[in-house]
Amino acid sequence: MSARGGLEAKGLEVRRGERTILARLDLGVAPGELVALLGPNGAGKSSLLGALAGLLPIARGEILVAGRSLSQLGVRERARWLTLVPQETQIPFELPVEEVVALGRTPHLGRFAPLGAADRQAIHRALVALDVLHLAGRSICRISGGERQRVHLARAHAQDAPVWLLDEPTSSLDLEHQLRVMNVLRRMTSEGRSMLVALHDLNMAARFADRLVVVAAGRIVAQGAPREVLREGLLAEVFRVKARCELREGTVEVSPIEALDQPP
Amino acid sequence: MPLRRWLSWPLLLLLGAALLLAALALGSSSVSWRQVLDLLLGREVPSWVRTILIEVRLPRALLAFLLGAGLSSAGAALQGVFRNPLADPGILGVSACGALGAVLAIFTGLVGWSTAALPLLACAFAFAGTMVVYGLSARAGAMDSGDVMLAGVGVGSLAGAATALLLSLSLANYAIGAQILQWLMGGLDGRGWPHLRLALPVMMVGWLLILAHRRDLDALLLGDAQAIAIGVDVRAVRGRIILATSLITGASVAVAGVVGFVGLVVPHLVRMVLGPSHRILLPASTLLGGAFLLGADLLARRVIAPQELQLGVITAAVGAPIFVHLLVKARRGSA
Repeated sequence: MSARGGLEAKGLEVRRGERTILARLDLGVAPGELVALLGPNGAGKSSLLGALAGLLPIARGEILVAGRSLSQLGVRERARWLTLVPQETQIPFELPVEEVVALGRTPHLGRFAPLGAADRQAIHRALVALDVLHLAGRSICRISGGERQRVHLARAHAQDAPVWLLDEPTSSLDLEHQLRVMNVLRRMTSEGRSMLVALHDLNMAARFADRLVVVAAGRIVAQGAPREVLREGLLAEVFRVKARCELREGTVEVSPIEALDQPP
Repeated sequence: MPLRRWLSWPLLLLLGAALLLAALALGSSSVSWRQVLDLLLGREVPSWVRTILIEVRLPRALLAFLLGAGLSSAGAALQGVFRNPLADPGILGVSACGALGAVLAIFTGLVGWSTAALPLLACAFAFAGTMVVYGLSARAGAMDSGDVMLAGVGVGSLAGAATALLLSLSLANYAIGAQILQWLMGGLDGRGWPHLRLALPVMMVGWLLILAHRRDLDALLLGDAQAIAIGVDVRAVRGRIILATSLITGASVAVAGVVGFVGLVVPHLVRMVLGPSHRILLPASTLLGGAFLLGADLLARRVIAPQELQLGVITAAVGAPIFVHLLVKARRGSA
């Protein structure tokens, strides 16, 4: 890790045409903190990650990483501070895993510079850290969804950015691989990174996140420790489900019962 | 893979050199292999042999290599930009747009005014065509291979129709009509040093521009979001690659008409053996593409000698089956 980051968004506003997608949003993620981003479909989770990563233009507000404004950085320099692992995208060519991870070094390399010794070390460390070294020569198209997700995280690791934005990194994974990926994220966080992770699984979020941020209709409607946020009232109001929330072994367990027809 | 990689460079160079020698030695007037060797070694040869080799066969062979190399690199780069192994200047309608520009240059008489008018208009129309195809397919959201192909077919047939219109309008004027027809036939028959001098600088600019973006093209394979996340200015890179491929396609259309499938076949073969990384794919496609078109032109000259086959016939005979194969594979992949 080259530098300690910390992410801060102030008064963030994103519009698509006339529609406001994110309205005056304030959000912070400290170094060594894993924050889960929760919310129903269409709440604005992906838009928020996209805006933070520079995929979507920002109408108003400011994004700071380690205290410096991202709007003053070029695309390349921004990528040294912050990276995004989007939802699974199909890759139409048989790129070897090693090359995908190596692409993480792009923001550190000149246009014509080949990979140097330091880059190769960073790539090797990333392959080892995400346990994908044995896949290095395999095609990205011919490994399992869980392995592919770990490869993309390894790419982010090789990129060496202190702030990670992850869009539903466990969505296409079976239970075993969900747990593996979440454990990896926990470990990456403990090394000092700031993680903002959009998740659908509330129990996974409660168990692995330091803090939860709940968005609905482009606004933050609740945030705090899992046991403070995950309450039956909020689940009914924001997620439109009747659910039971129980404290167990220091975390909250959410058991959904049924979908609500009408807003309460 | 590394062994294959190291082996492939000398093999590709050898293939190119062998085909170049063959292109010099074979032809309608009987020049012997020995005379070709004599000339290459700087020994004395009859002046008519020298003229045939230096003024006729050599520039034509070099031009074939140049066009093959350029079209293959352009194909590889377009496939990266569109994230679609089926993209190719011919299939995306880019060549057809370039041809429309060239025909327009003849039709309006701009060619008589300046020789540069034809390649200039060909490049400009190729660029406009690619931008339209890109705009149409990107508008639909994710660049699904079906959308890209449909947009390409649409733009290509529109350009083809406009070309036909110009041709039929010009038939009244025999001089212009004949000139257009002759140009539309395409191929490398009668092409020489002036054509090479015209095409080389433009194609070099395009080729270097593509090569400078080899890592960005790799990044684009991961999708826009990941490419931006690793610091690639996706819009700028797309624009520059489209410009570069338009320069190459336009220059190639200007000197030899529409030569299809080269940009599809060659990168596909290279990817199968050496993988999709552009660091390898681009130089290898350059060499193999040059050799491929050199070989195709040799066949075009010799198969029904003393007459010539159209160059596009040869490339299509090889390319069309591979296109169908890729199409079937893509369908299966998406199902």
